[in-house]
Amino acid sequence: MKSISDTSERAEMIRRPVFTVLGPLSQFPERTVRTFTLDEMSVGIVCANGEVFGFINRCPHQGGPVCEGELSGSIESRRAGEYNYDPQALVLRCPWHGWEFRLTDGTCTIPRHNVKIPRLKVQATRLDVLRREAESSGATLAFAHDCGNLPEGIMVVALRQHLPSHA
Amino acid sequence: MNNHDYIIDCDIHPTFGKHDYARLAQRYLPKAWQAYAIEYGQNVVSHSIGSHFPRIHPNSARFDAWPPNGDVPGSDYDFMKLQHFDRWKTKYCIINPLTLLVHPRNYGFANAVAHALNEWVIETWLAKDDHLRSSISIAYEDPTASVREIERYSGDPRFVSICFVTRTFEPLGNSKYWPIYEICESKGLPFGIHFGGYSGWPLTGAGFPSYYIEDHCGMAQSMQAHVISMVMEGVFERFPKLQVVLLEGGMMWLPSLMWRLDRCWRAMRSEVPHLKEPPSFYIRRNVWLTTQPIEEPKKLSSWKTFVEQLNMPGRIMYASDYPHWDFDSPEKIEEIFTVVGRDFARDILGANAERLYRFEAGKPLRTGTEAVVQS
Repeated sequence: MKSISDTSERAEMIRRPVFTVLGPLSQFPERTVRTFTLDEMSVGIVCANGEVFGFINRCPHQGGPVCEGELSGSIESRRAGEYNYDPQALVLRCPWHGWEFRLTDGTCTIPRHNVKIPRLKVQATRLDVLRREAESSGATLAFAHDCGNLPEGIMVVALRQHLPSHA
Repeated sequence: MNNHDYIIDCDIHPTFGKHDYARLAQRYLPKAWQAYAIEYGQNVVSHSIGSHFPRIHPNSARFDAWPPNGDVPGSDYDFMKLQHFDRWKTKYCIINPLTLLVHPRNYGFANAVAHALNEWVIETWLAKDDHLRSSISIAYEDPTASVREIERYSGDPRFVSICFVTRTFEPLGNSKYWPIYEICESKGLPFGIHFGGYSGWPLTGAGFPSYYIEDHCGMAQSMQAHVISMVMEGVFERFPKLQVVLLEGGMMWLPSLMWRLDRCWRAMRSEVPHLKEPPSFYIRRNVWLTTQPIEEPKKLSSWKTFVEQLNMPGRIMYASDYPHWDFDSPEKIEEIFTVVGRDFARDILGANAERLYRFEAGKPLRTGTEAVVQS
């Protein structure tokens, strides 16, 4: 039997954000996708256009590892025979069947397909800032564990509180 | 997937690694054919110049199927085991070598290549893994020699079928191919028709398309053309026990094709008086379907309607097409057919194939190479 205080402590633990430090920003060059396992869930971290994006690594189509596919620009056309390549309109292409998802919001580019890959909250932040945030939010223990002996500087961080319970 | 379920995958495509071509030639092709290939080339007629894979993905493969050793998808046993066999815990996988998608016009050379392929499959794949099975490769445009090649391997329990492609020189009902059907029937070997090939013909009667997407969707029409041909020419009257497996042609077109054929047969029976039964009878008795690439109707309930219209109980089998880009995962197939019923889905993933193919355990009858009999 759990005491009331145990229960409220557990609730507090769940409420607190848990940081996972994925590594120094230098390990995430522009236009790269790397996959990690967080809470037994595969996630993809994308660095592009100076931003960091995170997605659940599971395609809504057949469950393929969408973040292990290509990160590329998009082909658009206004009329038959015309091909326009926009290198800035980045999409993740699932390695299985080529379904494309916009980097900006994870939505699928296929017309009339209202599906998306869930976005995960990810940020690039300085380690000292992160330490302060971690302490003030009470997530110090988990944070310290994840942090290990990483050097100071800008780190890529995932907030595990934001992982969906299932993908 | 539950643990008590099992998966039999009716269509996987191991292929040559970068160095296998040279090794294959040196090991299994007689010197004369090695010299022929170097001096004259393969003498193939193909509708496309350059790559045989003008595909959405390089090598027509899943982007994640490139092995870490840098070789081509489907060439590395260890990686395939990790990514496919172990991932889905497959009980059996059937290899359909696609090298003879391009059939050399020189039949002697084609036969030598077919034989080399069979030896390559044994050495590179079957000998490594007891759960692998294969189709026998034959130079199908030379049925006499094909029969000899089938005779040679049909005693090896690891070879469980024969495989053709849809771009043959003639529609597959043509009596030219009947010696192959005769031996398939007598040996109890299912006869597979796999989408693809480069015979020089367009895939459909509409001519050569502009886009790969047209070619890929044409799989259904090309498969239909062969089914119509085999039924109408009386293949299944002559070989009533022959079992034909359609590989990589989709499925949902078959009910409407049966309706169309039966209607035409009622009106024009005098042209094909050898057909004693309606065309749908032969299809339901002699044809098996594989799931890939699965159609994707908006409502899953459409599958219930399809299964009812198809009315071919126990004749749908799972195929992945690994490592190709239009791969279907067992999870998706299970999700789709659970709409019809839990047992129905389970049978598609494993039990139906187990009823058709001879998967009996046992040591192979032979493992060494044999001299190529040149025609």
